Amino acid sequence: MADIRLEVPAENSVLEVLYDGSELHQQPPSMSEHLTQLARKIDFATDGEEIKEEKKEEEEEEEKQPFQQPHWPLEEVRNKIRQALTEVSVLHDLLAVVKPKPPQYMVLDPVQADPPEPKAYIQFLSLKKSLQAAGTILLNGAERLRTSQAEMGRPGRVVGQDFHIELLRLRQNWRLKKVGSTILGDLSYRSAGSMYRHSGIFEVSKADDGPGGPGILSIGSGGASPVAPQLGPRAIQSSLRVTVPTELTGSAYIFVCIKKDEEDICSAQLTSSDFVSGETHWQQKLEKAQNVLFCKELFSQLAREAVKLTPSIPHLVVGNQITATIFPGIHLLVGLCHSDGKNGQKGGSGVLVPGNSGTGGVVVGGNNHGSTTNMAPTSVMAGASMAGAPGVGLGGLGPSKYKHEHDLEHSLHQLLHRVYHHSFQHPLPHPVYAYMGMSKRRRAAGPEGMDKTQLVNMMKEQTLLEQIIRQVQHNFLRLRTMYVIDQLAAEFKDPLIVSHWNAFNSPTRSCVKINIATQGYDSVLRTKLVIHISERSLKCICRDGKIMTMSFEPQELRNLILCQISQHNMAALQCLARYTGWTVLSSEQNVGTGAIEPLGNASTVMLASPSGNKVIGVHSGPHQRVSVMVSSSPRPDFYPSTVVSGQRWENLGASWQEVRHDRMEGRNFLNKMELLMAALTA
Amino acid sequence: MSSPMDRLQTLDNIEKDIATVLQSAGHALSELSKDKPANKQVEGHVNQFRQTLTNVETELAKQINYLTQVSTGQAHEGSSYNSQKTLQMAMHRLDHARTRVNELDTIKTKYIQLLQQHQLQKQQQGMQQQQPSSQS
Amino acid sequence: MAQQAKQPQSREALLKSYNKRLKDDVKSILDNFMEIVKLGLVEDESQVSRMTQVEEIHFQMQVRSANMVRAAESLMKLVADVKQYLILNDFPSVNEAITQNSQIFKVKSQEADQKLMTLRDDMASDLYELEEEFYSSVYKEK
Repeated sequence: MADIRLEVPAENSVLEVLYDGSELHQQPPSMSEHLTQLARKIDFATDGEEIKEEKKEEEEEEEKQPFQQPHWPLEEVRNKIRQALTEVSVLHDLLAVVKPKPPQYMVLDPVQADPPEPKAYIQFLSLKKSLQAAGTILLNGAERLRTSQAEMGRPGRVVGQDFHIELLRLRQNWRLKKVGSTILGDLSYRSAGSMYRHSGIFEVSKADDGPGGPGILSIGSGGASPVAPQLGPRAIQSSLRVTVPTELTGSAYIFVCIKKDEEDICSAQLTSSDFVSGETHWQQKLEKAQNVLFCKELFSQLAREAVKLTPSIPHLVVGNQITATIFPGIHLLVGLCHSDGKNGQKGGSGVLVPGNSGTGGVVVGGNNHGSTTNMAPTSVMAGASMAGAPGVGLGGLGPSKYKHEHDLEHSLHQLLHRVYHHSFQHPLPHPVYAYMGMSKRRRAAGPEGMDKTQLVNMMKEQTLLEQIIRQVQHNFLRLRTMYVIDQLAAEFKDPLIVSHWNAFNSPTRSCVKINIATQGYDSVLRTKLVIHISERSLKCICRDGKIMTMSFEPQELRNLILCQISQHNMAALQCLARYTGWTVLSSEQNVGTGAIEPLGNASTVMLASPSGNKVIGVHSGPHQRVSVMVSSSPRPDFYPSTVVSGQRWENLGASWQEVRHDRMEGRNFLNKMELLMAALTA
Repeated sequence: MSSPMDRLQTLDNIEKDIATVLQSAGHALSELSKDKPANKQVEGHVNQFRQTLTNVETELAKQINYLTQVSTGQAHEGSSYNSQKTLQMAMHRLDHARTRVNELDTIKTKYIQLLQQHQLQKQQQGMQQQQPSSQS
Repeated sequence: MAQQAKQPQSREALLKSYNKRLKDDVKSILDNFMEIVKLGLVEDESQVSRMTQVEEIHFQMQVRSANMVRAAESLMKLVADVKQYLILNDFPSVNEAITQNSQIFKVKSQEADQKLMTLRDDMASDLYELEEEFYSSVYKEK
């Protein structure tokens, strides 16, 4: 049998468990606490008898233990009774005050009874009215919203299409961002690789129906841009307005021209004929502003380089113009032409009078290395004109005097654009873990075994100004060569000079093929030469392999061609002799006898007729043309003498007689020679 | 769906719906305020109101949600300015070529005119010569 | 760096504000409408007299409906803001716009150059013949 223990579960809840495992129980409520709890449960509103009984008990308890608790268990009861007492006594006092019949201090007035409740119908009606009012307000609001929305979508309105659609189109083409509460955009080329400081920020805002609204005006004559769609002559105003920074308003271009040495080196008034009104479409405005920024950057880059470089003749940077010397006596003028378009065609910022431009003028270096006499005078003149020559009306030369070279301007744009391109484009590294941006040549420097100077030369890059000067030099040289050749071709009819320019050329090299042939005798001989034109020199390659390098002086080319002409004549004559059966007795390309030729060398040919009795001798030089002599074989004036006795010695040639070939019939020299040969043979 | 024009279109529809919300609420109240309110209509309007409102809320929340996924705080660092410039330069080249060809054209017409004049003069001279010879 | 950290925060804040505005406005419209309808109940007077009560209800309805209209217009503004934000900051579409534009421009400029090349070739062949003609004749002006 097991013991079963009965244990009463702990009645008191556990307050705390000490560290040694013993438990602190909540003490059961003492007698007075228990009494307090019961007292609170009493509801005094119901029965008063119980109160009295309990009150007695409490008083007994209270006397027993007066100091155990600070509050009586019946405190609340007592308070409530006391309050009731207070109120009743107040009421009693009030009644006492009011009681004296003639009112002394206070009078009681009766309160009117509430009126009987009217029908709720009025309220109902009023409610309906209020509802109707509220409903109308809502409907009005809805109408307003709808109309404002409908107005946005209506085409043909003056303000044009929706602001948001326009904004979308703007963002399609331009870079936009939102700063604070304004929409700003960026039209600089920084995202394309430029390093220019200008920030190029423009602001976009909603266009109100401003004063220019109803007046339909034509878009500025800048022409439609290739990017935006074509806008008709009836201008549709857009709901966007674009504010470009003030220094980029209007339009600009770079003015490039080549001019020969003149007295005034730096004065020209550049005006632009581009008109930008305030009401042009935002696309065109932005494009023009971007163009202005590009031109400014280009010009500042060129100016910086012009100041930095120190060639033998210093470049001149005056205000908005750069003057560089290409060849002695020939100058390149680059100017920035910016018109603001505010007052119509405002003159561009290029008005300079040499005497007054003391502030803006920068004469670089003053390094007059002055190696040739040509250079010194120009720089001295520059100095003098800067120093303070009286500003004699030299500022009024219009652009018509200076021809603007569009292709050179285009080259400048291309060069700067290439700079942008290269700043972003790097050649990929080969192999993949090599450095970025190493060009192919540099990669091959190792295997090729380049030395330090070669490497340094490879890393040196030409500045923009140098590049454009090279291009301009080549351009000028090419034109001059053309001119020289054409002049010679017009001068000489005897052998004809035919020149064919090569269609493939680069900005710094061109090539021309020259054929020298006699008219009618093309099949006999053509003398061919190729002239390669680079920046400052010409290289001529003849058919027989001779290579001649000439400088940029036109006289040298002329001399060369004259020499070639004379040699052509001789060579052609030899070929002709072969056709006609005459034998070439001797031919000398560069004779060492006779008068000294001022240029080149004379050449001679001696031909013998088929029968052998006539000999023609031709002497030709580049300077003094051709002289033809004939001698016939049996001497008519041979008389045997004591020294020379045999008759056979009459067969030695007779004295030479000159043929006046300019009086002969015949189209050209070869024709005349042919006739001569025919005449002598017969 | 994600073309910006489509999204703008959706947002336009939302705008229309907002106006509809107000309008249906207004109609509902005016219906109620009539002497004989047609309960069905009121019901209909209120339903429309509620539906459109929820529609507006969900659509707009959708759009904002898309934006939270897709937008950035910074502006895009790239631009199409490079190729824009190339195109502008190409157009410049074309214009230049066109002007030069036009110049050639004017030269040609000028010379043709000269030639015609010359021929005319020759003819006149020839006729003048003929006449005296015929006379004599 | 601080600005970068600030940027996504402000973007988050902005988008949150849009959400909040949306919720508030929609809630306002709905609540105001409910209140208006509730006011339409005919009930006993409580503490003020009849006319005051009527006037008060009328005024309240007007104010509430005006509130609704205001909330709706604020919603419209919100939509406009969202539109603007969408246009300006939607990265994929901006990206796509840039690539598309670059592509189009490149193609166009290549076409233009192509045409110029063909023109150049034609002119070169014509030039050759013209040069032959010109230089082969003896009649030339200086």
